[in-house]
Amino acid sequence: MTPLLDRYLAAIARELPKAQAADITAELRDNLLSEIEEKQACLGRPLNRKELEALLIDFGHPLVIAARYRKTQYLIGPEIFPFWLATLRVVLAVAVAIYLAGLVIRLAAAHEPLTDALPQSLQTIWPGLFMVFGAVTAVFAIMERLDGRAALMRWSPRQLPPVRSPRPKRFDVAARMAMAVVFVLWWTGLIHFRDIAHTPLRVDLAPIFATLYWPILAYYAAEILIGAIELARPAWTSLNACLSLAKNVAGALLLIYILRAGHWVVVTAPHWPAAALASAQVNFDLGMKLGLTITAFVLACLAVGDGWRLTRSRRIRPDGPMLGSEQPG
Amino acid sequence: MSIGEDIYEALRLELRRGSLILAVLGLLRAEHYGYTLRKALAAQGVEIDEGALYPMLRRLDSQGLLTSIWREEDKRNKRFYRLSSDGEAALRQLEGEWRAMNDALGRILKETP
Repeated sequence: MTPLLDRYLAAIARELPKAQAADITAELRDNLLSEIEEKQACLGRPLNRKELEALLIDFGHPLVIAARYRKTQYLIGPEIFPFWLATLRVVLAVAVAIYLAGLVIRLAAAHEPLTDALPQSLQTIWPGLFMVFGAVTAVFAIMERLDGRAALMRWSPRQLPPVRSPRPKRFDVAARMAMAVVFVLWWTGLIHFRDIAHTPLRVDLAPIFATLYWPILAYYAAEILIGAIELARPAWTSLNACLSLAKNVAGALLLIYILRAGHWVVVTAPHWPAAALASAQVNFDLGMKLGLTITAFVLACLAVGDGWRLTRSRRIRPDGPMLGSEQPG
Repeated sequence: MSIGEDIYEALRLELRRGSLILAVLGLLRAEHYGYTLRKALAAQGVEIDEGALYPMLRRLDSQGLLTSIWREEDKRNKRFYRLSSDGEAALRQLEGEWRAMNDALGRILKETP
């Protein structure tokens, strides 16, 4: 019997501060022996191994018992936890935005097919996110140890951000739809901007855009349709966020595919010298590259924002303070 | 409408948690060692895990609310605890708090909606 009790107490002692371990385990030994003796007196015989095991299991796991003697019971306590969670959300969002910017540039410059490059690049996000998680947690764990609660608890209602709705504004949606309609009309040849601008320089889209004629058309048609749903059913926040997320991810991937073409416009000017034309070609391509890269990054960020809206819309009830604040009056 | 067993258990534990210290301090007006204190609490209808009681005694001791002494009894060394003078003052204050809370709860629960 004693060896099992000794092993149990030794397991507790290993987890206790050295200065207190002997004293605490001596007290626990006496309390446990008192309990064992009383049970034996009731039974009229010594406890067998199974009965002793049951008694020790009932007493508690050595790690749990030892932890209750320690001053610190948790890594991040309930008072600091909300600050840790809020900070983690912001820092992770910034980390994802930085990662997406790098991803867009890397994918645009990669030589292997997009179907190979994208999964490889996505794998690299996890170590970074775990590092961010670890660093934020370590900072807050140190604050917990150093009693940093007081600094966090100092706040004023005036510092709080203004109330905002998780839904996009109607004007923004309508403006996006209007731009998409104009683009579709131009893309399908129903309106011509070339006729408006009279210059000796002729700038045509590179063959990559002809290859992607239908996907691009489908993307802008989806933009109009999704906008219409958002305007007609603004309360369907989850569905709207899902559709917007899918659209923005598709848009970013489409742009990355276009960026990988390496050549986006064909510049012609019958009466220009060859050197000047070549320089114009390089400058136009550079401008296109810059514009397409920024747009792909913005779409990726919007996708992250949609993910955020999606989680918010699942948490906020229709009668909650955020949506209630939108009501007129 | 009935609530789930786990929800009830969590509520019950939360309700009991604060009052356990009051029960421990109250019984330690007389000297006890860990095991006899637990038995005395159980005899009064206050069940408490040993794994929670013994660390609680150490904490109250380190806070100066209890005094403790190792002494031999029944051929074994035992650590006996008793309320300190600070502990007696704390017990009086906590008892007042508990009675006020108990009265308030009594009035609230007696009121018909």
